[in-house]
Amino acid sequence: MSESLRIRVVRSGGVAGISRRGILELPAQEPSGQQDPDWFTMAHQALNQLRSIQEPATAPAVRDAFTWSLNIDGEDHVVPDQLLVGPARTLAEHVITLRGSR
Amino acid sequence: MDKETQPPAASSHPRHHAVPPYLLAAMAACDGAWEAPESMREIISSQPTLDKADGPVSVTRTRIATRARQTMLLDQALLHERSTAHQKLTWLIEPTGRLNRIISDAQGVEITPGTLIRSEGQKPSADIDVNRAYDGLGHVYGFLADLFKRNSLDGSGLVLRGTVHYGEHYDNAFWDGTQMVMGDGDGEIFNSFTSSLSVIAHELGHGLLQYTTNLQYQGQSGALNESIADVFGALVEQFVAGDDAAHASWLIGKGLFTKAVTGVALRSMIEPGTAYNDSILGKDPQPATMAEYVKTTEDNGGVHLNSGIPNRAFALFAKALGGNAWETAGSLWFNVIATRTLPENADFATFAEQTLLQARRDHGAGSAVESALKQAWDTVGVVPRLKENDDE
Repeated sequence: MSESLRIRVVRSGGVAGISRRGILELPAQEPSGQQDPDWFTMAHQALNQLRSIQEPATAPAVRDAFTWSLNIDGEDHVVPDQLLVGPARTLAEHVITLRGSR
Repeated sequence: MDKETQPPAASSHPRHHAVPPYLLAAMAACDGAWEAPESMREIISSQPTLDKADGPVSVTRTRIATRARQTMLLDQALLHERSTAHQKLTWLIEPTGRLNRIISDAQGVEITPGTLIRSEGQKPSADIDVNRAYDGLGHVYGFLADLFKRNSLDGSGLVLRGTVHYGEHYDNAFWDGTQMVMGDGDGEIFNSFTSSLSVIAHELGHGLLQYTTNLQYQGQSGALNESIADVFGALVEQFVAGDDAAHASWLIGKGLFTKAVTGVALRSMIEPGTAYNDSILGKDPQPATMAEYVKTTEDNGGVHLNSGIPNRAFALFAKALGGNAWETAGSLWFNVIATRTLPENADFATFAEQTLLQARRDHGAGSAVESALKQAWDTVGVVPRLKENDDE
């Protein structure tokens, strides 16, 4: 039995400057492993991954790239588009397709 | 360094022929803010140069370098006017090089550059995105060459590279530090990002800034980076269409939205905040004045939002002057970034100050151009921070 989990994602920037945002609420009563895919597991993988991201020492030369803000279980991470990969990316891309809040 | 050995101020340019070209180039490079194109480096290194070490003379060095770069820009303008008579001199500021474009296809994957699909001189592809990217890069090159006598983004014939079909339904275009990268759009809100010349030129505008004044991509300096890329995007589009300031749309990304969207473009430079008002996208959030400046942590501090303020100042300035925006107004903006008189962390007030100083250098104090520019900054609520005239 997992605790409930809330995931907020904002994708801002891009040449259009139009933000997209979404919220994924995973209720406590839904047993882990019975979802398709398992967003609980993916969220925890994403958190571990986001905690280990190292920002490059020099300012990146990329312009107009998306910037991602992820809040997983109250923990904030801001990640440039090119560093968001793997489970964190899969999760983030899923959440912004959901109608959470504008 | 005493007054006798200082380079002449730009305003007294008849004297500048007294400075040998190699010395002028060495002076222009002496503060480290500008690197001479490769073809100039040989002649500089074979001649006496100024000491590059940092020290108490660094302020003087900055002044020397700035004035030398101003003089070189004036030379460029003069040579442009008398190009046939001065061809032997042009190599100094027009190093050898030519238009060279390379378009690659990422084939729906988020990789760059992808597979080479069309290189310079090859006949059009069957793929419209490839051709629009290729043609767009050609327009940007032609604009820089015709108007500013600049050989590509770096002034040294940099190969212009573009990748199309990046990612799947990818809703963005960007400059990756070496090339432009274009997504296909999702087809529901966005068409292909190659469908707008102003967007293609906007991306290349980021490249031009990278090789001139690389404004930090955060907060107000980031919004200036965005705004100057928009100015560049709009000017290239106006230049190609032959639209003067009065008839131009001043839109960035016209044609990028699908018909399902209630909106005309991504941004309006002349009326920020009016480009779209749509049930899915919401209302265009760009501010038109400093009073509406958006404070946010998203988008590197709202760089794509607050760019509306300097965008409007430029459009108002160009419209007040009349004629073609790329001439007086565009040259002035270009000279500010090309001479690198602007710190990379400049805010709006500092940028406004530099544009006014440039207007005085180019057109004289109290000129109609300076008045129109002052009025434009005033309308958008930016108060230029004018330093005391210590040496002008």
